[in-house]
Amino acid sequence: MNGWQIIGRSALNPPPDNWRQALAIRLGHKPRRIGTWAELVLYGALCCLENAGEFTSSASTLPANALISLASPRGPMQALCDSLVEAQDGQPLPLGFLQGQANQALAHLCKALNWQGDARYLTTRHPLDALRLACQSRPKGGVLLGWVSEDEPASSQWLRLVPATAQRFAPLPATLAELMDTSLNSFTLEG
Amino acid sequence: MNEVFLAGCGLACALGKDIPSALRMLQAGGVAPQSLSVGPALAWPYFAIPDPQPDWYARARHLCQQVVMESSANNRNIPLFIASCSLNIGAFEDGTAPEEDCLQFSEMLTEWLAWQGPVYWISTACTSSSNAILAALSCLRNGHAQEALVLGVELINRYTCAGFGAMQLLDTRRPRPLAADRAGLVLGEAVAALRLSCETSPWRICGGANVVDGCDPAGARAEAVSQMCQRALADGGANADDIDLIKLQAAGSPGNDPIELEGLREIFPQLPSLISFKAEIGHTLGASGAAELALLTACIDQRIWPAARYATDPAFNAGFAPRLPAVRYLMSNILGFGGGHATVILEHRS
Amino acid sequence: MTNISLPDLQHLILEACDKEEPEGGLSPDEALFGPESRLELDSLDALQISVAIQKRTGIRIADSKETRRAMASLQTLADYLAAQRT
Repeated sequence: MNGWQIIGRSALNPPPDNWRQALAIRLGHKPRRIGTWAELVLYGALCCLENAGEFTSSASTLPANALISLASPRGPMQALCDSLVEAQDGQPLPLGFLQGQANQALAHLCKALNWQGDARYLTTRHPLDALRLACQSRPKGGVLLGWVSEDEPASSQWLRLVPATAQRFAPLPATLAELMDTSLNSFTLEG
Repeated sequence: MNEVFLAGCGLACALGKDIPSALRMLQAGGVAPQSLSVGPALAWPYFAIPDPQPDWYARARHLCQQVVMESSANNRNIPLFIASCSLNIGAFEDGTAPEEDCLQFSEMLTEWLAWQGPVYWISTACTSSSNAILAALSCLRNGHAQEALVLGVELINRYTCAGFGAMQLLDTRRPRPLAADRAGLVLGEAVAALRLSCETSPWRICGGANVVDGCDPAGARAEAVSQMCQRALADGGANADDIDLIKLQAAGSPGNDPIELEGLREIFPQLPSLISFKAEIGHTLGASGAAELALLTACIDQRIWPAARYATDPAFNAGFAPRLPAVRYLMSNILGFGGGHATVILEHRS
Repeated sequence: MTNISLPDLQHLILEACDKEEPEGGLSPDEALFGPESRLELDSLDALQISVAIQKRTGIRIADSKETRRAMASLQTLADYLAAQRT
């Protein structure tokens, strides 16, 4: 059985109006030069780990053998489009060039957590595809899974999952919304 | 846990449109980079695939279909792991991308290949293909499939080259990894297919590791390189002494080349034989992990080795293997933007 | 090529690097980089400023060594740009 317990979640769909200030409080400083999409990534991930009891006052206890799996349908597309326009003279601004790359958000998240480990980004229309792929690799420290979109209304939805051996878990629900429902505490993947 | 093997490879890169022509060109001394204009009076060297076609999508389609065919991936129901970071930006620059939907390109690819199995698009900048290999490896090891295809796709566009130029990371000449006068990297394009299978073949994929470190969003860290090696050796059930050959990231970067060696020396006090392909095909970004592994295993299988064209920096006390070493275990590194440090370990079972 | 005043240069740097103006503004001789700098800019900021300046003035700062020398302070940067125009 491939059972998983949900020990933390953040369903910021959309995030609260003051989310940027709330992020600055959690980081201990205002984030700089990382772009809106990466800020949404950071805020959702930190809220989720806080909910899981794995992040307090800028310190994280996310295990080193966990997997961070971030997914999005478009990633930082706005930053990329802005940078493409800026680059028409052959010189994009370096920070814009970096902000247009989705995996920069992983580096910023690792830095915010003072954490080093396996982290990946998937472009997909289906958040549960990213979940299945992450869970299939069975990382011993579990998975921190994020689904982030900056398209209005913005959303940053995260789950902290740890492997479990119980036999009577419900099957994986069909939608992310059902996974975000706090009445669901566990699920199992077939295979 | 299932054993996983590299059962087939396909590659189009600056050396040639398929593996036999790439090996022939490598044996003949390789190719010099061309010039890619990125803006008014601004151009950079660039390793382009020798396949000029005016239509970006038609060229992409042709190259993807051809490398997948070369890898003998005949079963289209298996998982497909696409690895790319520059998307279809080249088509966007040519005005042929109908809308700003980056997923459109992966869906076009799926259609071109008539793919029926699950498709995952992994985009972690330069480590994209390496992470796609690691994801496919997990999938097969844990019994979720018997076969999977990794497809690294990085095709010509001005924007990525301009971005690396603006970051002052590019050389203006052919790149010179580990040379004393190295001045940066040169980008290139590649399409590479790796078919992974649980069926036994000579190259076993033992394991690997991906370590993201957030301290430098644009460069490597020696400590993370060491961590990457330690994790990969543990995952692959190998010892440092087992590794006979390391294919370096070594792209010619003044900063990252020594950092990679520093990190490796923590784990390998006596460095194994070394090789880099960046002077031959350029840095092919998201495709590099798959492209360089396809080229490396083909070189070993066909006993063809790139000639050393210059002396490495004496300060490194490390040089490239002048001839093909005896290889049982090899390690293939890719380091990149976003603090990505990834490697895979392969065993050659003759 | 465009002339660029000290206040303009300060604005360009702060905007390019996503920094707020330090209390009382930047003085012309104040360090932009290093431990004594109030702005605490790093090498990535230097690259960003370098490209922003090129877009604004057409002046290209050749490499990282020259960038560090030119960007010691607002005044050294203004002097460097003035010298490039002559």
